[in-house]
Amino acid sequence: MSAATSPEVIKESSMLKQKGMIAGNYDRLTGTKESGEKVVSTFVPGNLNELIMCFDMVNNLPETNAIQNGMRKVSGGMIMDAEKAGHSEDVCTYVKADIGMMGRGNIAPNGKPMPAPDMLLLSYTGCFTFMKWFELLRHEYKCPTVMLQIPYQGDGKITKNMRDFVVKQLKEEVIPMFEKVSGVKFDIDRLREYLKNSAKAEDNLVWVLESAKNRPSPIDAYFGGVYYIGPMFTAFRGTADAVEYYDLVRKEIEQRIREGKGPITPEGDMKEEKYRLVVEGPPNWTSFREFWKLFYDEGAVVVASSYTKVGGLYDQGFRHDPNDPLGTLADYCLGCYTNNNLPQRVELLEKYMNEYQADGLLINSIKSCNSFSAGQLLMMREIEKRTGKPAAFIETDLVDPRYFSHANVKNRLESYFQMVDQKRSGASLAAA
Amino acid sequence: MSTADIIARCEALYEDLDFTAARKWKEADPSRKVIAYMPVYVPREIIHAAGMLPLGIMGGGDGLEVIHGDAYYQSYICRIPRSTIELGLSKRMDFVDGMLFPSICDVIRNLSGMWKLLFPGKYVRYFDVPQNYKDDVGGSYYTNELNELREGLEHLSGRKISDDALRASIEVYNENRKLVQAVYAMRSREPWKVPSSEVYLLMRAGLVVPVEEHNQILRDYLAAAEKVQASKRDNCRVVINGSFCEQPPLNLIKSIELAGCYIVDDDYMIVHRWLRNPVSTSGDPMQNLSLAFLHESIATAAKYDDKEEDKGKYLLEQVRGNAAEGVIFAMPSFCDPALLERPMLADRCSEHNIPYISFKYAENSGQMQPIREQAGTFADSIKLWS
Ligand code: SF4
Ligand code: SF4
Repeated sequence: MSAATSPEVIKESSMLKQKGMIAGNYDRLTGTKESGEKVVSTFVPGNLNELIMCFDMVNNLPETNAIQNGMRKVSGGMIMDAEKAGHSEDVCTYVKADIGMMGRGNIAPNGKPMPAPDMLLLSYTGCFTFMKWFELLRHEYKCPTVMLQIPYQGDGKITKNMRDFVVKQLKEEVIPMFEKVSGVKFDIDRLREYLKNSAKAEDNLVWVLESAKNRPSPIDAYFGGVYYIGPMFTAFRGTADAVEYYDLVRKEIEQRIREGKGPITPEGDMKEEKYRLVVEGPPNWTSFREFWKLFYDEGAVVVASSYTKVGGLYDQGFRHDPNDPLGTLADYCLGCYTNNNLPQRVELLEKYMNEYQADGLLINSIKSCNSFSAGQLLMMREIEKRTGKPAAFIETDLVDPRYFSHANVKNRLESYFQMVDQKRSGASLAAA
Repeated sequence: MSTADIIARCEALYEDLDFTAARKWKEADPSRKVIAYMPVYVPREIIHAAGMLPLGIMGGGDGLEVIHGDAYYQSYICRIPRSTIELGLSKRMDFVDGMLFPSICDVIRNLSGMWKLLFPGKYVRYFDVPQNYKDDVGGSYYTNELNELREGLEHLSGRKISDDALRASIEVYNENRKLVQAVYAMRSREPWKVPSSEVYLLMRAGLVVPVEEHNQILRDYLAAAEKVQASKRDNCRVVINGSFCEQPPLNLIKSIELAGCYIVDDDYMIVHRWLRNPVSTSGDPMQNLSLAFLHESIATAAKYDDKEEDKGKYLLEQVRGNAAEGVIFAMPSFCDPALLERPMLADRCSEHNIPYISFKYAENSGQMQPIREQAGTFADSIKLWS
């Protein structure tokens, strides 16, 4: 899972800024031969970007690469390559897209080959597959690998034992490995400075996400949301660039609210807001634009989503805390959405349904992702039971085009919107 | 008692999805409690020391009609969680007081939360284990986790679990490990006397009866198997890998044997063999269980291999230690851990010129013919080329 690059047609200045940041990071990644910089690969949930920066290393996120390849419609071939090489058709397609990409020379979106990682930071947060994925990469690259195990919130809370364990691993495993690979000594004050930047940007991100409580919502918190979380969840949290980016987005949204505008879509401003939805699950990337269109054509706007929380539940109050640099990294990793247990996830969605005055819940169930998907049918029932609002279930995949059926999704959504209409007219009849 | 008598009893236990033996055990004393657990490992010693019965749940197999469970899962998720939900919703597990969900994959992990939602009031614990094997890092985390489990069970029963009780339970399970290993060793030595389907049923029995009773069953079987007259066949010797969670139907195991393979090692129900050596009974028992986990655990896909060179080491030991001639990767469909692990293990096999085949199954797979053919061809090719 991860934040994507933004859909191309949004042309606000924040968009251009983000585009520049992403391109810059790919240039940095593909230029390490010349610059001598070291590369670390890691995952979006539990991404320790501030720590990585303390060692002057470049952050490479394979999930983001898979998304890039998905959106450029090349992931399908890569997945098939991996399957031909012996990887099962049943497993997560991010892993296979990554392995397939490697087989094709690891070409970055700028057309240049990516370097082999100097280190793998296996931040094992909220997904079991992460562990196997990086074992597979280590199997190929034979590079230093450090595991950061993040215990799961089985009982819906973070205990002292869990937190101490994570901090201890940071001190005794992760930081020493970074020092060894990078040759840079760890400086906790440097980390504090980055964390201050993170917290500033996080305040604005939350403001942006919560702006969807307005009617009409000035943002789409799922399709547009992946664009807003981009810098925060990837290689930019903690940078001055990210602070600037979130200032910019906030100003743009403030302007939209003043003008009473709905969200921006690939085809311009969304006109009438007919349906307000909460969405659970990651999006499909291979048909991202077509998928989104099925919503905005019907006047459906996503007002809150769980996917935009995979890299942190900032809207529930978490902020990186420069006063407790390692503890805050532990809290951050422990708190990511998929590290929450199912009852917590249901509670969060229920809260979103109420706080964002949503008409219903939509679950986009991803074939690849057991972490998200196992249990979603029960979650759906629970939300229906607790809120009395209709819920719908669609099935797609992340980056495997074979599992996105436009016709099926369209049918499902159309009947879902009808259901919402019926429910509404039923409610207004009852009130009359 | 003959092996046939013993196995008939084990088979009856295996087929009994109402868990009558465990129910009876509980009914004998109103203070008794039953704690169920899923694959792949829990420290049963702690449950035992609490005076409770650990009950291993391996899904519903091919004998359970799944009526409600399918409504909880998409088609691309393995079978074991849906049949386990079925067992719960159909009240077959209504006598169970608590359930442990070990950290094995995201499906079982999420099932722990589903269980909380579906069965409020029951003791439910996601049982986490360390993937860091240093005593003062993963070890201290795990010791604290074990203590939380201990406290949870104490709370449930209203009784303290003493260190002495823990040591005594470790002793009983050490005996169990010894006997289980003896059965495995005997099968490896003389697989014609100890068919794998029998070993399988013996181990399944160990999930549903008290450990003391299982120990007796194993002793009886070992004694009876010595007397079995059976002649050695020209079968090839294989190790099964990837079947540590959702179980194949018994027929699948029989089919592999019928196809000309002696299974000389496997990873079915590895809870019995998770710890390779006896756990120390002197000193702090929780510490001892923790250290044993860190340093004596077998390798499986649910565990992180700290070093790349350790990947496949255990499988290679299984092959060499049992003079196996090939590996059969038999994995449940949609099982991420097993299926993601396989390419790495397969590479190790190739590096060491160990032939292997792979196939997938589901606990309710019905068609055995393709598997029998595949295993038969594999056995033939091994005989031809070895
Ligand atoms: S299983 Fe899900 S969370 Fe894990 S890597 Fe795949 S998509 Fe990401
Ligand atoms: S069969 Fe595999 S994926 Fe399914 S619950 Fe077991 S370990 Fe998880």
